[in-house]
Amino acid sequence: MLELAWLIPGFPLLGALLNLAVGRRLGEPSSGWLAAAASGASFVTTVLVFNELRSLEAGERFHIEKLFDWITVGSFDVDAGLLIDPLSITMALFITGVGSLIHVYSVGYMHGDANFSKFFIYLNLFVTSMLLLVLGDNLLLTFLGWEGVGACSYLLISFWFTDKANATAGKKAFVTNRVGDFGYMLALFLVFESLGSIKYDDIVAGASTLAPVTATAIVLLFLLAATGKSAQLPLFVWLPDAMAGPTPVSALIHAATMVTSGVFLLTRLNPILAEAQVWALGTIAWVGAITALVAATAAVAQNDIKKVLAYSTVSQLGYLFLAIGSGGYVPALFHMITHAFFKALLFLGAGSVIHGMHHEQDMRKMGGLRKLMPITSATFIVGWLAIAGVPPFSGFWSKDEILLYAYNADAVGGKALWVIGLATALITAFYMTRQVLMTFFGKPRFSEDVHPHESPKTMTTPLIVLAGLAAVAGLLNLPFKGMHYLQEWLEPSLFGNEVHLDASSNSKILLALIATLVAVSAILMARKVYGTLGTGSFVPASGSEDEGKPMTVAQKIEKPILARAWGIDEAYSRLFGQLGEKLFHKFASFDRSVIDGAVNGVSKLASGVGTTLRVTQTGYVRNYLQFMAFGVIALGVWLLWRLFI
Amino acid sequence: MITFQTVANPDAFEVPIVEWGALSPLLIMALAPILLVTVSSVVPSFKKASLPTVYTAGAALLSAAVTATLWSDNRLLMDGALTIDRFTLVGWLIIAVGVAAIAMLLDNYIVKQGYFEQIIEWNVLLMISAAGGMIVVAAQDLIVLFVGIEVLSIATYVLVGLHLRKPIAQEAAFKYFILGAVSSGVFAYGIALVYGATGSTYLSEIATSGRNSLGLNPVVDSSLMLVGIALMLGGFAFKVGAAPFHSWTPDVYQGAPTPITAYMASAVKVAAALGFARVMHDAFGEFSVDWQPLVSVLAVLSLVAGSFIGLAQKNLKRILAYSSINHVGFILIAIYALDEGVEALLFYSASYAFTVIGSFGILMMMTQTEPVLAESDDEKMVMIGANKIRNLESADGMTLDDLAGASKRHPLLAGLFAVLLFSQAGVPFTVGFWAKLQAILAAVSVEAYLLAGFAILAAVVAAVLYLRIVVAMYLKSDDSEPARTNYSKLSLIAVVACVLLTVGLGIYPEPLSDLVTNAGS
Amino acid sequence: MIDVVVFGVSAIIVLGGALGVVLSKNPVRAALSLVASFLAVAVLFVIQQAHFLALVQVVVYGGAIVVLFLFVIMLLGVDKVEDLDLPERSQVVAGIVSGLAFFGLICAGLFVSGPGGDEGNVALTGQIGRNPIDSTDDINQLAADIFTRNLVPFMATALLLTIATIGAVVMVKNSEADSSLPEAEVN
Repeated sequence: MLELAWLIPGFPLLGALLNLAVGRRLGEPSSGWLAAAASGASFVTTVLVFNELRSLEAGERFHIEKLFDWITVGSFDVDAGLLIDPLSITMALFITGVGSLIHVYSVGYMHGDANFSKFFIYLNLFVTSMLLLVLGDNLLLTFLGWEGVGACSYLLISFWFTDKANATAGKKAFVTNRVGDFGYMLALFLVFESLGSIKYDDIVAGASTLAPVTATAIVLLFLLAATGKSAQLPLFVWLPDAMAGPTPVSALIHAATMVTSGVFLLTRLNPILAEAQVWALGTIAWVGAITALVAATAAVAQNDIKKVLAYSTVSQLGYLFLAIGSGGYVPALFHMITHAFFKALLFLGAGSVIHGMHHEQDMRKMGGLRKLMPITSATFIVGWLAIAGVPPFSGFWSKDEILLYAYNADAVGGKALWVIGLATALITAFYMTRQVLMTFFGKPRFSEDVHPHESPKTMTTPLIVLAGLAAVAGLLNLPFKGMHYLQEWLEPSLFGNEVHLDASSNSKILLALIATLVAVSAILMARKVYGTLGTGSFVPASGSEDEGKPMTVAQKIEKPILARAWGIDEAYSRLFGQLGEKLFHKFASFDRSVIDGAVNGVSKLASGVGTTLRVTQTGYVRNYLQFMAFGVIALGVWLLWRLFI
Repeated sequence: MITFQTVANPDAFEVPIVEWGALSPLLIMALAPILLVTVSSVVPSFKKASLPTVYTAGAALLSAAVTATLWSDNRLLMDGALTIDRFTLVGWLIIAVGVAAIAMLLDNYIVKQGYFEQIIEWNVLLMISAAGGMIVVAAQDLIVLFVGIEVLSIATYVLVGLHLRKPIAQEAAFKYFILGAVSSGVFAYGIALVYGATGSTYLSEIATSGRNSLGLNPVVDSSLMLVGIALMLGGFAFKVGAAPFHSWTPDVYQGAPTPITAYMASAVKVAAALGFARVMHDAFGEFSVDWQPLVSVLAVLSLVAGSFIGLAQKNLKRILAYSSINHVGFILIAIYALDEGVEALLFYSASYAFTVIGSFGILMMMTQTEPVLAESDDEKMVMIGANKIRNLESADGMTLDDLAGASKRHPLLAGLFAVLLFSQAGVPFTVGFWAKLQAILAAVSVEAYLLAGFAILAAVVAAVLYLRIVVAMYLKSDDSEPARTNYSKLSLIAVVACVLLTVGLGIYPEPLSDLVTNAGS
Repeated sequence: MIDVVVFGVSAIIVLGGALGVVLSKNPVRAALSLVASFLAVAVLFVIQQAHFLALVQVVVYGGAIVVLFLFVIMLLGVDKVEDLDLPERSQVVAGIVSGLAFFGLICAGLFVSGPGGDEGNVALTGQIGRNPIDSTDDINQLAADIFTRNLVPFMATALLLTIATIGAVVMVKNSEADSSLPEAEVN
């Protein structure tokens, strides 16, 4: 069965190609079902491979399935191959699983869209790339997947590209991710240079020979790459904007799968992380912790139903980095899985609300939807309890595990990290309660001519399935003796680099109690603030009649600085937008005025108007010539100068 | 009966044996145009529709096919003046296939622009110029190299200026001619000084010259030799368009007829780059510590100039011109890496050539099928007969603004263009990714980390350059209707072939890397 | 010694003639300066014992080509002062500076010897790899050179001349045809 692993990315690729060929003719909804079937087939294959892998001895669960010779240049010899091990299969399972559900949901959500089949081509391509990313047996194949998911992400963000905001968001995602890619490429070359190979098996075997400095450099460069893809500080700005795309895309790409690839990468490279100096891990943990806190505070002040979830995603991803930095790979993956379930659920629920509200996303214009959309609201509430960390929902177990690791990670400042993590948990419970109250409870605040309705079965079924998973996924890795299923399963992929805590069960229970108390008190606080919602509870738009009135508690919390996510995004725009533009124009005017030799300041070519040949030519050519002459002289002087040094 | 007077000392003459077989790709490229110009002047009906195009493309492909049959050859020809080896074979293949593609792009262009009368001359000049390029890549003697460069360049000067109704084409030709002539002068001066220092113009003899009985190499410390190298380096840098010798590139690329721009950016540049690499490698290998820093500086300047200045441009041909300067940076990195970079150089040259031909080809086809916009009244409106027409090719060419809505007017062309642009940006799943990867790997393997870092940084910045074009095509909404397709089928075939190669080799690059590894061995 | 004097005088004429071509505003004077320059080059050939080349230089360049130039100038009637716009002062200065710097670079190449000594420097050693030309037989030597060692450049030059001819013809023919050509159908 393992030799058929190529079918896992193969099915979605086939789906994309089929839809490319006949999608327009199939039309709606058949092309959507075709894509969903492709994704489902991939899921089934993954389950079969998973079973096969489980039947092997723990030590043999590291299988490389070579596909073909890919490229050979000198000593750089890379095959295209798939690496089947517990880590990659775990990732593949929830990618294809959640992916299939989202495909089904999309059939309902994208109903009536002009580019229905195109959407599913992109979606299938995304799943293919994501699977290549996790299954690739070398850094280069992972990079291809990495870029592939990026490309699909831009395409899907700007899917409704008639909207200027969407197009800008797509561009922003592209540019920030290029910064991350820069780190990835540098790290890849560094690995190749120091280990002579970029295959994971060679990296595992050779990591111990790395000098700590080299390992640290590699880890930091990969961290840069991961911060881009996984939306961490300082590169998180693209993710909230990426919510401009269709909601299923937000759920699949910007919550469940693609954004976790940075965490996956760091987990995959755990042998190198183990060799790196401690402060490298500390950097990871602190980046994660600070991102978690900053993004959570930003989420408090958002009024767009999807923006809340977007900042929440950034914040939860911060937890994952915090876990990795504290040496807790298993908690990171555990939380990644539970987060994939509940965050996909929340996004799809939000999508269902948006769908029912005729594309209204402002929570200030919602309220009281509980009765009108019973399934959506029930499932959303499950998601809310899970993310808020209320036991026994899944989020409680995984978040608790991360906080436990952070608490014990003394080498990188554990207690402080724990406090930040706990504060984040508090704020998380607060803003999620706020969202639920604003959306589903209280008095309806939408206008008369909006008639919210429950979504079709294709949309509610995935919601119900995900709600079930979000509720019980904690079972994967309960902190009780003999129930660390995920930990035992992942053991072969971690090569003993996982930190093993010897915390007493008493302290575990104490920490869990504190976390529960925090969550519950945050929910109560939010209820106090947002319990009775009238329009006056919100920060008034400028120019509205409420402007200038004394602020309520809610308004004080939602100070503009939070709403603008601490102004980081704007700072970037100022820096790169204006300064960068100026820089480019400096370069260009240098080129025009000095190199192009328009000494008198009039550049004919810039103005694009044809004037008489002779006048400009004498002007230009002699300047070009002068430049050439100086160039040649510089070359000569350099070479002669070398004679005497 | 005529009798020939014998020379005083017949034994003094030992005329080199002409290896017809090994030289045949070059001979085909040089003689086919002579045949064409002769036949068409005798048989006027030859000048009909696409016949000259098919003839040229056929001859070029024949030349490529013959090159392929020589694939494992590796020897000196003509008493060591020329050589058949990896550089030669890959270079010949690139040039010959490139000429075929360019001829197909020229097909309809000439008619559309009103130069059907001159169709034979365009093709003849193209082929002879390419023959010059083939001499350049095979040359083992600096004199041969010089004459080859002149054949290559002089024909190109003329081709640039053939669009007589377009003032900026005239301007471009004139500039290119003056600057090219001066750079040739500088280059020839360099050859003279190197000859002065070593007593030979043969690359292999230069490399081993000056060794005295003690095994020392006085030439290494010769100021004459070093100045000679500097001058030749300057000449080459001009021909490949490396910064700071790049200033002619944007003007000339913008002014030249678009298919000729494609030719200059592909075959001419590749020929010059391979000649450059061979001279540096074979003749001045001993001096690598001297010239390597200079090449790395040229590379960095090209990378920076190409990507940063390009960002401030609006005109598409100027953007692509700066992009080609950026590509030269990568090629120079491969040259810098000497032995480690040979494969990267050949891979980059090959993949770059067809990507850039495709890009300019699509640009040309789009420009030609731009719709008539009677209401707009800017400087691009020209009177053609009784009609007022927006003729972008006759004016300064397309800008980013003209591309708005192109995805709706030309869905096919826009899609193909996007693929090629992504390849130039080095996006994975396109051949451009592998090319850039190899160039950077070459730098890493000779421990030029700073250079590698610069290359990656420049690739990241340059990606934005290409993204702007894609954004202009796809995201600037415009309620255009699909335009009437009125470009030549042959041009479309050439462009589609380029795109297929880009994607095919992007997914599975082994054939091309095999090709550049195993040629001439 | 006489060699040095002859060389010095003719070198001055070569350079002076070249400057005259560039600087004189009257095209006829420019063409005649060219003749002076060519003739002085012929003298340089003579002191190198290359009598045949000297002859060719005088007959072909000094004679045929410049006469052709003069005919063209006269026929086109451009034998008057052209109103060329003069470059700006800063550009003139930059031009002179770069010219001098270039000259300095060449001189440095010729006369500076590196730590390895003078051996590789022709200006300092007067040694060059090839044998000096035997003045009694320079035609045969030239022929032998062209048909053996320099056969390929010789043939490639044929290609160069072909392309120059075609290029010149097509440019001229093109511009004539263009005025009478019906306006193109451009889309």
